[in-house]
Amino acid sequence: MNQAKNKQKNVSSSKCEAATLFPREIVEQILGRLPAKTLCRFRCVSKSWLSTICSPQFAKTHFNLDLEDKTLYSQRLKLLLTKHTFYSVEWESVTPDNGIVAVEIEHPVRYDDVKHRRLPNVESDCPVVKLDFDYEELVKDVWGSCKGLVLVGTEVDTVFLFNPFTRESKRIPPNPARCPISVNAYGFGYDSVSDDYKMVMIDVGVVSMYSLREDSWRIVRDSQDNYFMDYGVFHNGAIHWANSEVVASFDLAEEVLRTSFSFRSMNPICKAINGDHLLSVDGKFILYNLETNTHLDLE
Amino acid sequence: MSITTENNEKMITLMSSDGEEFVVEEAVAAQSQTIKHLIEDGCSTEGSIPLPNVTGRVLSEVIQYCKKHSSSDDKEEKELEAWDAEFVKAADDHVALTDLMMAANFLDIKGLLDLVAQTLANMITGKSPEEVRRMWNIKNDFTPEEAEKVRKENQWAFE
Repeated sequence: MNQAKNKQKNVSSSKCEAATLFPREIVEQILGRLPAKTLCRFRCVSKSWLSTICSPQFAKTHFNLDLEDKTLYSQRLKLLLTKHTFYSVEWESVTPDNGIVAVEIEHPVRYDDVKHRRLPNVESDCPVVKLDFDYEELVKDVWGSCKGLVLVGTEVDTVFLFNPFTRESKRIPPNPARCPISVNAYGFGYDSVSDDYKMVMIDVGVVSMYSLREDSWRIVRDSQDNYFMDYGVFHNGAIHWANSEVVASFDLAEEVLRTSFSFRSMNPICKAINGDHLLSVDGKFILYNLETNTHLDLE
Repeated sequence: MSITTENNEKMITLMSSDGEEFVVEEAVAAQSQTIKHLIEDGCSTEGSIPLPNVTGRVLSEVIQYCKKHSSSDDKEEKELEAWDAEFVKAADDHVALTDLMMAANFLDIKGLLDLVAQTLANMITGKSPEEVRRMWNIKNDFTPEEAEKVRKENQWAFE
């Protein structure tokens, strides 16, 4: 049998065999490569498409395919988050002629230094379009973002998870353990072990955690000595906070708070108390000082 | 049965659902993880490997892809991309592409699956739900009330 030969030709089984058998895995492979807006429109195609597009499993497929796709013209909506501002960029708008169209959610506080580091090609006069957001009037700050979701809110009791790609949002219930007069440290991240988004709050030494899966808060540690405030930085499965002496990390899977670095053992430039910022940039974890414009790689 | 060519390449025979037989080098066929596993499990020694889910027309296209991709190395990436673009263009329409994608899925050829899925995705990106239903004969099984609700919830995506 040295060459291909036909035993029999079955003419009837040619076209349209696909239409009748269109398994869900095939549909998912195609839908996984579509931009978010198209996906929202295709929720109207049929019940099975609606259930596919809305399933958590599909959200993961979509997210992972998006990460794999390194092409500039992938028609994806990218979200770029800085400390106080977030942008999304429609790559399909990127052409040699018109540059990049960045979509920004209006925000009272700009963090120019970081913005320019992250988004160097955006012209200052680029078109700015507001996203529809049900709670827009409440949005004063962006508290964190991780794996497609953004944590926004006004105060710690009024916090929303926002999916800028589908424009859906969910309010996080108030934390019963929160002390109303104290200043909090908080953070937001994704626990890949239990496949859960978690928000953590440190309040007068009490460490409490919200799980999106459980949709509730619980206390994970009732006392700790270090004082932290402000946003934690999500990096490597843990949320990190810095104060003048230490960097502490809360591992979202183990649910344990650890002191991971001591400034005393580090380079003297890090001893500056104010103006040090923990940043997770391009997979690197750095401590950045805005005033001296110096940074230290922590890993 | 296995045959070796002058270059000492091991050949195997693939048989489509409609009985067409294709003799290809093992290295070409092994681009398909499904076939590779069948070969490893010793299924190729007793004649041809039957592929009950793939017609001869589709299988010949798949083999064309596998031949190209087994003979090219990384240095020819640009040329290969251009070839891929021509290859999916030649597949003509979404029905042929969907057939190709089902075959790539069954045969587990990741490169081909990615290529065709992306082509189909690009094809439908700007389309309306009605157009998508027509393309694949998908039944609109929403009740009028459900249809209105889901449309209303996603109105922004139509603007």
